[in-house]
Amino acid sequence: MALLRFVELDVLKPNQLRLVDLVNDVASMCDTFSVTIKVIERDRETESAQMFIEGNDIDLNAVIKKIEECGATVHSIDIIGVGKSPRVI
Amino acid sequence: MQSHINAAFKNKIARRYIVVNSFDGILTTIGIIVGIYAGGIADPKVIIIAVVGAAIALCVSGIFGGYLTEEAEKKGSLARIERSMLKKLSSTKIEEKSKKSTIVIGLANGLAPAFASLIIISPAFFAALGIISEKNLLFMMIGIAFIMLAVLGVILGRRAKDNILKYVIKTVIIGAIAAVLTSVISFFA
Repeated sequence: MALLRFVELDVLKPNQLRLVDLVNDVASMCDTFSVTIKVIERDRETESAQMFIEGNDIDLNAVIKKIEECGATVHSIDIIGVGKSPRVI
Repeated sequence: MQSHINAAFKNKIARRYIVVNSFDGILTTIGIIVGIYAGGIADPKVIIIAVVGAAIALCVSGIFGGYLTEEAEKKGSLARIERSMLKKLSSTKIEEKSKKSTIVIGLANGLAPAFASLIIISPAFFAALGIISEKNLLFMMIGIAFIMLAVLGVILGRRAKDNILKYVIKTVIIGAIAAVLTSVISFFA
């Protein structure tokens, strides 16, 4: 079974939730995680963003659960990247 | 405790409540003290009982009034976000943060006037214990009250990034108005 090494998620988050807090919370799940977020659209109460997560073996369900715990929601999984051996970071 | 105080000062609404309610506490205490002296009772125990009673009332009313008002506001704001997100935000970090901030605001709202009142009457505690004389007690307490008003003026001036002296003069004049009005009314009574 190949390891999940890259994911791009379409995330909707409330404006009240700071980008840096959301990224930090997801990144703190695993030492090998590298998380980037890019805001696509900003409304009065919410922001749509693309979240890019790189890691050696990403547990997607745990990541989605973490994002929901923060108060954001995952609309779709747009890109996934897999590989057989762990990446050397 | 330190972290809670820092949280209160970082919270914009809590900071506002601290200043507004300290002002309330200081002016209420000035009113009570001047009223008691104008009534001819210069007993520190009477001052302590009257002001502590007022401080407790201000504290209880501040904590619960602030908490309930803020809770309603935050619930409304959370409901608005939930409508936009099309999902419930219960047991998320946003709700947790909102609850914490409501508690901090409630405490700031209630404790600020109570502490302000107790600091002003601190000489009365020393006088009641016989550590300092009862002579000039009124001037000591009014002096502390005006120093606290000046400190509030400094805080406001720094926040406004404006002339600090202007704010100090304003807060002190407001305190003087409260003191003069109370003494005038007390003399007529």
